[in-house]
Amino acid sequence: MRNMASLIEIEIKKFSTVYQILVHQEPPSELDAEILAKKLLDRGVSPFDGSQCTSPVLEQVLSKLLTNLNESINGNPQVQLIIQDFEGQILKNERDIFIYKLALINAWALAILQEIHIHSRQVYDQLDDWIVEAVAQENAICQ
Amino acid sequence: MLSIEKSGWILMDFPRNLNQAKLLEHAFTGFQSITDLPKSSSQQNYEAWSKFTDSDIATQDSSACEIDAQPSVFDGIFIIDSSREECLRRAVGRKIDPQSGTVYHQEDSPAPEADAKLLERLQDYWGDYASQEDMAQKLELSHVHYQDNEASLTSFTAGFGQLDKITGKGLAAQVLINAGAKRTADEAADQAQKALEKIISFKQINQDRDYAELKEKVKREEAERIAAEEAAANAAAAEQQNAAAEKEKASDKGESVQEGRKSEAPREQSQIGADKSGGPSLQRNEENRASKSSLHSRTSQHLSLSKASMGAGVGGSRKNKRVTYTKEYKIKIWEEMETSYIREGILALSDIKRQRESVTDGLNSCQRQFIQFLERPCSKQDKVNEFVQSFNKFSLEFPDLRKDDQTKDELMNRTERLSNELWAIVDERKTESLQ
Repeated sequence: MRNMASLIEIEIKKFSTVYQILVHQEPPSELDAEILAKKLLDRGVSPFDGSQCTSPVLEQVLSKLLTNLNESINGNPQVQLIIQDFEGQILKNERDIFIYKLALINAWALAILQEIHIHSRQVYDQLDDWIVEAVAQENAICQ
Repeated sequence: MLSIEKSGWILMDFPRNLNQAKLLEHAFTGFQSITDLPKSSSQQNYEAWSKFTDSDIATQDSSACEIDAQPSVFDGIFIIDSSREECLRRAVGRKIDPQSGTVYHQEDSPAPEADAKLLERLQDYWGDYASQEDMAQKLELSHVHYQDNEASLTSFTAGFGQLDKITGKGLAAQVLINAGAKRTADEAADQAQKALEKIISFKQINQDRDYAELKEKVKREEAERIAAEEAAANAAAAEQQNAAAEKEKASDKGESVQEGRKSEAPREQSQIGADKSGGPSLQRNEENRASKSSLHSRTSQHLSLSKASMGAGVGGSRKNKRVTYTKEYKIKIWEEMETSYIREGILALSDIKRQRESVTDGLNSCQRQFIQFLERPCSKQDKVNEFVQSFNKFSLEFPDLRKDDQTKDELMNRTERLSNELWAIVDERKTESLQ
């Protein structure tokens, strides 16, 4: 989960750099994934919900990021000044790329988590079968 | 000291007198009682004179000590109140188990009578003292010392506490705990715990409020900064617009002069030419030119805005970063981002790959270890085999004795022993499995 947050953080850096180049200032809303993910994990938010195949941590991180992203673009008057220009178009494209990458990372993280979840479930089912087998054998010996 | 401050500390049986308490407070909080402050010579003379004339006034004046919820180094000062006789009774008659280190008291917490071995082991316990007489003598001395200082210490510490700045209400640090003869240790502990919880919650509320205030202050400063930036940006934009309007006026004048000099024919030609062949392309060219000029003007306007926002126009409202976004700077930050993007991306991806492998390996090794655990040898079957062999051997050697009552009893005994051994093995394996 933390590595996924690192990947998101890299994308944030990229978007922030483009934002700085175009708007000539840093994004006013702080975009941060690693710290938020760490806080959520420390608070005990589940990294993966097997029943619904979702990741509550990632969901919260992404929703917070998207809110801040919107705030950085729609809530900044300096961005609004250039939004119809070439710079604005570039910024919009970069925002779409950023959102696309976030969705990609989210999907990939869910795929990995689900794979691990299924694998571990299979292993524990197998162990459970072995326990039943071992108990049956011991009972047979005792009889 | 920092580590102590972080986790807190408890002082027991200290301070023992008023001077120690004052010095401790002074060392940590700088508190100084007004009675200890140096007095002016006129006041000293007045006091010396008034002692002779009116002793009541002099005493009242010098002992006046106004302490109004003074913050202390201590969050709580617990005074456990118990009579001298009760303390002595609790100290006398104690026994210690040298093996476990548990201290029993003949009356309050006697050792279990059923445990004969424990009762044999118990030894007299005098704490840090050599004998009962020594203990009684030193406790007596301690009590005398405490009683001498009790009044001054309690009145001094009663003035300290935590003060809530907003409500103006305070919480005294001093807590009196009644641990007299009629109260059990649990009751006294409950009282202490309640007082402690109260102190901690009061402190927590104050800290939370301070934090919220700080947060609010930061927010306010940020809003002020943004407002100042916006004002500067608006001013710069207005200036830019004025300059552009002036330029336009100047260019209009120039164009009208040129147009007046030209004849009407070329203008018609150009119009016809536009209508016939190059109409849309010319229009597009003009649009492009217009958009370029507007982009150029907007870029320059944007640059001026950003410069204003970076502090050039605000005059120091933003002290943290004054960055001018020049072409070189833009290239630099892009290259830095590119390098870190590639490097950190590779690191994160390789970490993810490694973790996936380690998870798979971990699950496989878990399976392996579990198989080994399940296949560990069990001695139950050996025990049963041994029993059967010995029984058969006996039956072969002494076939006549099998119907003998004594032999039957012995056989029953052995069977029961075997059963117990088998159950012991089962219990042992059960414990191992649970572990």
